[in-house]
Amino acid sequence: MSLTQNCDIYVAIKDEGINRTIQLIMQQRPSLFNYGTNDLNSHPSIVCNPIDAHGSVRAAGNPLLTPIKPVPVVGSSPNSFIPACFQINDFKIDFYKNDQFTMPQEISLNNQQLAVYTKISVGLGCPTPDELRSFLESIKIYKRIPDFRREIFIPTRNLNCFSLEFFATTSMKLGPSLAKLSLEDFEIKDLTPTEMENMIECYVMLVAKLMLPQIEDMLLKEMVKTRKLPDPPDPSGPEINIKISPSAQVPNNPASEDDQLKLFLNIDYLTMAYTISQLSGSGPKPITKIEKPRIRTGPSDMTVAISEDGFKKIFQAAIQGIKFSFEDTIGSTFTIHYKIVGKLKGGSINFENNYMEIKELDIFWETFKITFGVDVPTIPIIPSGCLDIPFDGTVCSPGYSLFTKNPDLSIPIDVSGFTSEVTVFRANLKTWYTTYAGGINKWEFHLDPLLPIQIDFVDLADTIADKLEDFLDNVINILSIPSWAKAAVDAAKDLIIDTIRAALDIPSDILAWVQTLLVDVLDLNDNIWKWIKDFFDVQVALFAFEDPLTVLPETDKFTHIPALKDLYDPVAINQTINPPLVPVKLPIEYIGIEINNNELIVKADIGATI
Amino acid sequence: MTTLNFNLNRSLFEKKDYDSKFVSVLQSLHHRFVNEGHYTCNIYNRNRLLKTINISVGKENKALTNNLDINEILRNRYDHYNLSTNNYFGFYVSDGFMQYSISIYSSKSKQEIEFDSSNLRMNDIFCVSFIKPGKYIVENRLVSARMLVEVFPFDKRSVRPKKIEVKDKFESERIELMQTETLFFIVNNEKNNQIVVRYTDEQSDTKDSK
Repeated sequence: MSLTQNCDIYVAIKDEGINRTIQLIMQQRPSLFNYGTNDLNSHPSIVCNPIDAHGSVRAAGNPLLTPIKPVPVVGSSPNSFIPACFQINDFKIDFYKNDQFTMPQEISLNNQQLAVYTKISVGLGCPTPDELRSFLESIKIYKRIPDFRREIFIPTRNLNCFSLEFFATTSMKLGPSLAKLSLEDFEIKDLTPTEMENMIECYVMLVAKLMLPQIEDMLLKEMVKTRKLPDPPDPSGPEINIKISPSAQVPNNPASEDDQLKLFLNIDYLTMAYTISQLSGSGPKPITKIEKPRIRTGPSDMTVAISEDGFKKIFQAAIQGIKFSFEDTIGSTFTIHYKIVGKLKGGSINFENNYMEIKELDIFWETFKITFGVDVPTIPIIPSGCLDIPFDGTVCSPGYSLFTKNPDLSIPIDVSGFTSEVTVFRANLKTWYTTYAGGINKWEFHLDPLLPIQIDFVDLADTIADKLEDFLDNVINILSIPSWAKAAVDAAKDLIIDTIRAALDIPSDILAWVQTLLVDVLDLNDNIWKWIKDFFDVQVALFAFEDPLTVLPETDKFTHIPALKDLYDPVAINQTINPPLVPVKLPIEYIGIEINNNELIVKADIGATI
Repeated sequence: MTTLNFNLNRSLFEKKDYDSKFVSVLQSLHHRFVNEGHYTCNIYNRNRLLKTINISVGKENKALTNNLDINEILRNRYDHYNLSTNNYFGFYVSDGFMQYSISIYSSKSKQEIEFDSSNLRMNDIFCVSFIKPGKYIVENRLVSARMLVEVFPFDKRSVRPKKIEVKDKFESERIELMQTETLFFIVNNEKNNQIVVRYTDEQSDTKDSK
């Protein structure tokens, strides 16, 4: 059974992959999970649970805790505070069946549910007797200062801590106009007295019941939106307008089963606008490229499948939205300036085992202008002459020449408005793992054309040949140099013709020459096949990203979570972090693409370490 | 028929008449700067100011002569030129059918006119290159002097520049030149001068090829 039997797009994520990702983020951006008074950033080893920070974070000297306010000592004078910390030590997700963490007896994970596990630690400063004595001595001094109003921080390296483990089970239902979230059960492990546990659990359930409808509303609003991608817009890439909605054709959407969360989506609306203006990849070439094998077994961390029908929607959007526009001048003495604007029309796409086939695709050449230019050598007609004028110096007259511009001759040929048919185009998709200079690794998706492409350039060569022949027949008349100037420019006239012929290397058979030109210079004949294969398979990736993939960029500011805004230390939270927090990167261990009769499937695994 | 864009410099073959009020193809104007200083030079076409350039004249300047193509001046952003004192500064047009008038005055005051193409003065030079064979009447309109220039077809002799001094009258009443040779009219009087060269002898013109 195909993955996309009841939808256009199938997305499945595996709990183990999500948990590996969370672990990697925790290691590389510990301040997202650890909160403490700013003094603890100088002594992070005294917090409740050791922070497992990545080597790059420690090497950069990044703060491990997001600064929060200290806890006031009630009734103290002057106002005194003690350090505190709050840590999320562990956070895991489990899709049915339960295999990512052990659940307490009071709660269970049922079919189509997902479970969340969180372990937190809370610590509060407790000065040792020596620390307290020393502090009280200093208080006496402060009290002698009239109107002393400063807030005093009680320095201590002793924190008393406790930990709590939370378990929750939830369920979710999505449809074209449905978003339903439920907190099924909530359990705090081993909290006593039992009455307090009951009280907290009841409160959490109450909060969930009141908060979830708001989240459902937000989800619904987001689902019916037509999105503009990419966000933020990238002028060099395609602009995509897309509306995707959950499929109603499956009993459980999303389905929480087989340790995966499976989403079934349909493409409701899709448009694309993209002008391709680069003929060949001009960027650096990889030093090595390999097809990296998968090392894990079982379902991938992420699986995305696009059905043949779904891909047809994408293909049609691409046909309507993609335009190519090339303009350049090549050569020096003999130049060819070309301006080519093409649009795609028609065409159908089908999936076969291991390739996709595009048939009856037309390319409409909206603009097809080629201007041949020749820089004829400058021919002096009137020489410069200098005259010595006694006592006054020398004065020189200017010389005058023919063919002082470049190009001196230009032959514009405009054959705009014809249509070429791409008879059959077959291609597979490949993923390459490439290494570039400087040790940069990338995952690259390439189109791998399989059959020689046949583009029918209807009579293009004949048209250009006719126009050039016409020009050469008339070149003598076109020059129309007066006979009285013949003596002066006779040599020049011969030179003009010779130069044009030499520069263009025009043989007697103009048509053959044009065909050669199209192959050698513009690659518009049979050699276009080699060029297309090289272009897609080697030079231009359909999509590429660096490995490891940056998911959170470098930043010199702490992340502000609105829900925690009252906890943050108002001064320390806004300070510039120097050096900045290192970026969070995910190692992409494997990506594979396959095409079968029904769908295109992309599978990816996240690595365990970075 | 295929359209052909052909930059032949056709103006060279269509030029028949010359007027020292202007700089255009095959005719140039040269002025000798005697006094050191900074000068402002305006270039006009049909009384429309096209460009202003600055000319610094001084003994320390190395340039002994400076011939500027007005086409280049108009294309370039560069607008400052140097000349060594007592040397000639010239203007010409390399191709095209445009004609330009020139006026140069001291940068200190617009009243101190140094050169005006409409009134050539002592030591100014008007250079004319002849490409079309035939007879030409030369007139100095402001002093009512006339002479004849007879241009013979090119015969592969070496081309040499010729000069005519322009006093109250022209130095000679008649001069023979070969096609493509240049004639320097050197003003040597205290009056205003305007030299006009007009092609007259259609009879000796061989027929143009079609």
